[in-house]
Amino acid sequence: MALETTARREGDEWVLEGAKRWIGNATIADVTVVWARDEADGQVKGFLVEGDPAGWEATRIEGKGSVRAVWQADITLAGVRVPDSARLPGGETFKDTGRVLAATRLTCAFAALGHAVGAYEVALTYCKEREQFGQPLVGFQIVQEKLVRMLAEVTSMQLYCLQCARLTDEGKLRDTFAGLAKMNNTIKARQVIAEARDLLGGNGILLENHVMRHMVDIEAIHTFEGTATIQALIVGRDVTGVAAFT
Amino acid sequence: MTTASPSGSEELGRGLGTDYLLIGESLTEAELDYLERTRRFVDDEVLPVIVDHWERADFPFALARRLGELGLIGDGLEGEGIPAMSPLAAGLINMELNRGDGSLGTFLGVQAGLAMRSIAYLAPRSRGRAGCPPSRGPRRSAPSR
Repeated sequence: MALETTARREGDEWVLEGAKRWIGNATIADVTVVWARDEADGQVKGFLVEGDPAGWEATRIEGKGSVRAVWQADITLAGVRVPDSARLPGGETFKDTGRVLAATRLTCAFAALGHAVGAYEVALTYCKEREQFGQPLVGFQIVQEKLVRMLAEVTSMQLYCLQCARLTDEGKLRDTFAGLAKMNNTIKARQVIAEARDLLGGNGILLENHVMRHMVDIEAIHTFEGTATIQALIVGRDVTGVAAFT
Repeated sequence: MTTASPSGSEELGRGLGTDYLLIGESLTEAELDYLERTRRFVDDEVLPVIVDHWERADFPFALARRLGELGLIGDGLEGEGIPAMSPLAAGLINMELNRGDGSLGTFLGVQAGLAMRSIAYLAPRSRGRAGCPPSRGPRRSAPSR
C-alpha cells in the first residue's frame, strides 16, 4: 500500500508530513480526515485536521472536464501538528480504512445507476416530444429498440443495487459484491448514456439537455474508489483464487 | 423537416420514476419518502440551476446546504444529529441525486460516504471537538487518503 504521508508522535501531539492529490471538498472543509503511516509501527492511522493549521495547504485542482461543479484539491502537510485526541481511535491499520471503502463502492454503483436513469429518461422524453418525418421519434422501430435496450440495462443495474443494499442491511455485503456492482454499473452507465446522447442527435451535445453532463461526469465515477479494472481484479481473485495484482 | 425542438424544455430531465420491475413496491414507507424527497429536490431545485454552476466550475453552496436541511446527509450512518436511514434509502438518495447531477452526488459521497463514515466507524463515540461533523450544519469535511 503506497501511502507515503507520515505521522510522528511527539508527546501529546502528532506531526503530519506529506502531500495528497484529489482530496474532495478539501478547500472548503472545516474538518479533513487525513490518513498517514505511523513512523513508529508502520501502520496507517486516521487523523482529523481542523481548520487551516500551520503547514497545511489546499489548492483547488482546476481545468476538469468531469464533475466540474464540485472541487477537489492538492494538499500538502508540512509538519502539521494535531493533538492525540484528533486521532481516530478505531483506525489502527489499513484494514480499518478498507471497511470505509467497501461501503462507498456500493454508493458508486447507485450513483452510476442514477446517471444512467437520468440519461435514459431524458432520451425517452425527448424521443416522445420530437417529431421527424411527420411522427414522433418513438414511432420508429430503431428508436424503440434502443430505448428498450437502455431500459434493460437500467433495470439490471437497479437489481444489483437492490440486492447489495439488502445484503448490507443483513451484514452480508462483501467488498467483492460491491466491486462487481460498481464495475457492472459504471460500464453499463457509460453505454446507456452514449446511446442517449446519440438519440438526441445534435441536441445531445448541448449542456442544457443534461445528457452531455452525465456523459462526462460518469467518467469520474468510473475511476474513483477503484476503477472498473481494479474491481474486476478484486472479483477475479475471489472467483479464481489467484491474485493477478500485487 | 425539423419541428420545434424540445431542446432545453423544462420537462427534459425531470424524473419519470423508471421502475419497470416494480422494485418500488418492496420499499418501506421511509425509503420511499427519502426517494421522493430527493427526486423533488433534484427536479425543482437542482436541475434549473446546475448547468450554469457546472459550466462555470462553481460549487453550488446553497444546494449543498439544502441537502442538510432536507435531512439527506446520513448515508445510513448512526450518530447524533444524523438522520436515520436504511442502506437502501441511502443508496436511493445517492442514485437520485446523481440522476440530477454528478457533482452534487460526488459532494455527498465525500461528505457522508467517506469523511463522516471514517469518523463514525473509527471514532464511534463523539469526543467533543473531534466528534462527527453535524450533518445539518454548515460544517463540511473532506477525506484524504
